[in-house]
Amino acid sequence: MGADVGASNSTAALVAHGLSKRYRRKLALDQVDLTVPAGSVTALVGPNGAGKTTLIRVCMAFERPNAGSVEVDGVDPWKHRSQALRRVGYVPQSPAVYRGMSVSDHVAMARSLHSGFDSEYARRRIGQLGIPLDQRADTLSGGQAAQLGLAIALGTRAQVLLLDEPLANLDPLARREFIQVLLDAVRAEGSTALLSSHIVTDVEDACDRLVILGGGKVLLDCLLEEARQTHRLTDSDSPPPGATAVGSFLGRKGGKLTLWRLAVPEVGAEGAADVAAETTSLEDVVLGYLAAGRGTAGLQLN
Amino acid sequence: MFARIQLTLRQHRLETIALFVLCGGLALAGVIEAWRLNSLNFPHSCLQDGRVVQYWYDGSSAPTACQLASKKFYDLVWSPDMSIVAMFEQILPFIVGIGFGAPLVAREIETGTAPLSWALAGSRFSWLLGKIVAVVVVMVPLLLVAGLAADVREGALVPGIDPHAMFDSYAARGVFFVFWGLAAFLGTLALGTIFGRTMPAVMVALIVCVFVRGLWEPAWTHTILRPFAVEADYQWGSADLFVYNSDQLYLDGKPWNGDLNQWFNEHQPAPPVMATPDASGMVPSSSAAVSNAQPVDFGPPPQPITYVIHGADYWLVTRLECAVLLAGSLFCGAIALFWVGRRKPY
Amino acid sequence: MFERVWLTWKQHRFETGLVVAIGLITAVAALIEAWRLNSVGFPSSCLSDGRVPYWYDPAQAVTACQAAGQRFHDIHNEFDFGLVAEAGQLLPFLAGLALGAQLVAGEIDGGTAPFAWTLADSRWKWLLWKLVAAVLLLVPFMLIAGMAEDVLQGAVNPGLSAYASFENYTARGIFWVLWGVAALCGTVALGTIIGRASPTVLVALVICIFARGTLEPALNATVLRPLAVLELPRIHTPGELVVSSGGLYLDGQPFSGDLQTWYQDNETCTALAGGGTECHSPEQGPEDSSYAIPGNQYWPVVARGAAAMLAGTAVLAALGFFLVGRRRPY
Repeated sequence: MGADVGASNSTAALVAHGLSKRYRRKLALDQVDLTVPAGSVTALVGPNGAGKTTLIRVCMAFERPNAGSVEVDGVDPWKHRSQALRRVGYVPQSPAVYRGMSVSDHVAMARSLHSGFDSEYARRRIGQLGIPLDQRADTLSGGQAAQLGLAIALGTRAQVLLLDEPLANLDPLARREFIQVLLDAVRAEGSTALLSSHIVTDVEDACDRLVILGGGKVLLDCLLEEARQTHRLTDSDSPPPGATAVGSFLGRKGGKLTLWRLAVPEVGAEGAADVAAETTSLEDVVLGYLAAGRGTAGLQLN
Repeated sequence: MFARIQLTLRQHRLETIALFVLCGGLALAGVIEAWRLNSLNFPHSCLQDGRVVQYWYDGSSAPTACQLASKKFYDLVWSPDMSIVAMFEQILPFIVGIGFGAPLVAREIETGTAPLSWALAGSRFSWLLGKIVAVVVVMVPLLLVAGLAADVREGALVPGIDPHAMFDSYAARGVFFVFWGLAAFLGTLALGTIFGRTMPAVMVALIVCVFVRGLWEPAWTHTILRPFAVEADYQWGSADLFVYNSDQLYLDGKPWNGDLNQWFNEHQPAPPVMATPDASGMVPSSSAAVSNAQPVDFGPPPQPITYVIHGADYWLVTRLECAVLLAGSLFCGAIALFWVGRRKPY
Repeated sequence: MFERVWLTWKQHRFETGLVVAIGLITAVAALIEAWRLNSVGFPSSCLSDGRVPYWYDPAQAVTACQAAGQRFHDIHNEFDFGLVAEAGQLLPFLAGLALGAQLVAGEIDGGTAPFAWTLADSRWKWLLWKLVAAVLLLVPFMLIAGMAEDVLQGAVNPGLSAYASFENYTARGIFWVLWGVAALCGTVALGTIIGRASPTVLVALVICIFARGTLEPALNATVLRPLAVLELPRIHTPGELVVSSGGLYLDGQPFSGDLQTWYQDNETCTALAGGGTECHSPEQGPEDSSYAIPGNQYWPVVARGAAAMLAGTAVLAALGFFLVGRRRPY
């Protein structure tokens, strides 16, 4: 274990092949194939129970996969946990803070645990957000606690950041601030982030890639822009030329909407005649795939 | 009601499993140890004051059948397994009570489920009362079984006396199991509700329980049990409960107020030659020297009067003490119910 | 290093406070009780086998000795004295349990394990540092308490050095440290399996009581047995440790026959003048023996006992390390 395994200059920061994880009867991950390119900010989107947390936990070596393999920055986390974790910064869903210990204590603890932890960097980030270092961490607001978690994850100077729904409990302003801090850091360091969320609008502006997970399977894995260009939403059952139906769901006004996958990417807002009943947003794409993944009787077309 | 009990026990399944394992295991162990002792068939004719007198061979005379039987009996009594069972009988109700009492409210607060539970519940009072009832319904019968098994074992240890007519380890068996368990449960529940954290509640409860259990018998023998005590010639090993010695000395049945030292000086035999410490600082056995002092028959010296409660009053004492324990338990339960209505759920 | 230890203590400040309180309060209480006993000034000439004897029969009392003995035993029989003297039966375990349960199970329970385990260079090192911090806390405070209990033991038996007597020897001195550290490591392993702090404490307490009850017989039958000598006849020397029964002996040889048959066979009967016979049992028949370790072997016994306990503790610690590497952090 002494030798450094893996290759940090790999073009893929995270690679999963045929990854499966089963909890008793429930299949949480089902033959997942996924590649997260280095330097990208990837949104991992899916409903509750889709397998997002399980995928991140497998990458963190918290869970052992039943089949397949995963590599984080070229390192198998289950075989070489310490090597893999050295490359990863992790932000959990609910900020874990020690009762009665100050923000400064948390940074000190991270420094004592992680060789190479940049405590000055972490302190500076926390200071920029106006969080007092001497404040007890268990009295921080949800947003501040999430920022503390992010600052510590960034302080590891890890090349890969895995964020497990850190936005779930934050108010809109705190979410925006969190994403801004994350993006600034990722751009400055050239690191990779995998941001799991079920709030599509928040990740829409931040991420350059989209992975939709549903029922433990990867339903879509592409660039964000590609996702918009290759899908079209209509309020009719007649498909655009060469398109295949993805899924149907109820629109805001109550009518049935159908998401279609186009054979040829569409550039520009003007598509084929009589198709665009509503503008196709990223949320529509996600909803279409989730409806398909859920297998809702009566709504699923394919 | 049944569903609520089931849900509470499922929520605390680790504690419930521990309760069943500990109570069931101890009851079984107690009965097995009693059976082993009873299997020796110690002759009743050999009992002295209902007890088996300990004996070991000093080779000075042929052991009698009674002495041989006594040897076998005490070989078993002093075996490590018997000691372990006795030790667990002292602590089981506390472990069970603390184990259930600490997490009932504190864990809900710690894990953040209290806001949900308290928001959903009609009232916090009924929410907690329902939980208490669920625990009590399961805890009481199981502790009673373990306590009765301890009674059976005590009966086997003292074959000639009914365990319900003597005070040997009386507060560590029988129905006391239930009342100690309830007191520990509701006391720890109150602590957990106040602290809102499980571990401090467990630790403080453990220390409090050690104190209360240690102080219990001396405290009551000097207070509520005193009116029931009668003058008696108490001897170690009797079925009676020693309560206290009078401060007043008596001689020939009359109060005596003289100087005890002077009395002994006037009546004592010639003082023996005492041994002096050797070079290592050790004082050699002076038992031989003491035994050289031949007693003179000058009648019994001034003595205090001893007050005891007879073994026949076992149930009276048990009722009184259990009532005190129950009152204490209810008080602690009331504190928990009061506090849960006032505290923040986080 | 200091920062890491300090942060661990701060993180578990309730348990740290508990350990400090246990150590200091026990030490002070034991020294006070020892001072009270010593203040009686029990005359060494009145000691019996180095101990202050009870005089049950006032007719046999020696006045000066009795008066001092009465004062001595009045203190000795007080409840608070018993509590302090018996503290070693429980408190070292409580200290070890409290720390041990929080070290891993507390982190899993509190949801901070993922934070710590992802930041740590390795879980093994993470646990090692936590254990180091806990041991650095336990050792001095348990040692203080254990040594004060030694002083108290010396006062209880004024004619016997506490280090030449096996009375209560596993509940004082260095054994406070050994029990505390063993409880710590065992509870860490147990807590890693259970993953919840309070059930861990209670299950560990049950196991500790079991261990407390079985360790001495186990040590006596194994590592201490070679130090024991056969005592025949069965006369105890002050402060000795009886490790096992030696069975029946007759004329220096083990006796395995039937006792009553032997006595019948060895009766000496004489014919009486008026007819009939008078039978007498032999003056000395088979007698019980025991294997005992004399008090002057105190330190070799403590060394062997400590080595055995440390070996057990090392196994428990290794189990903890093994389990923590495989455990989910939630």
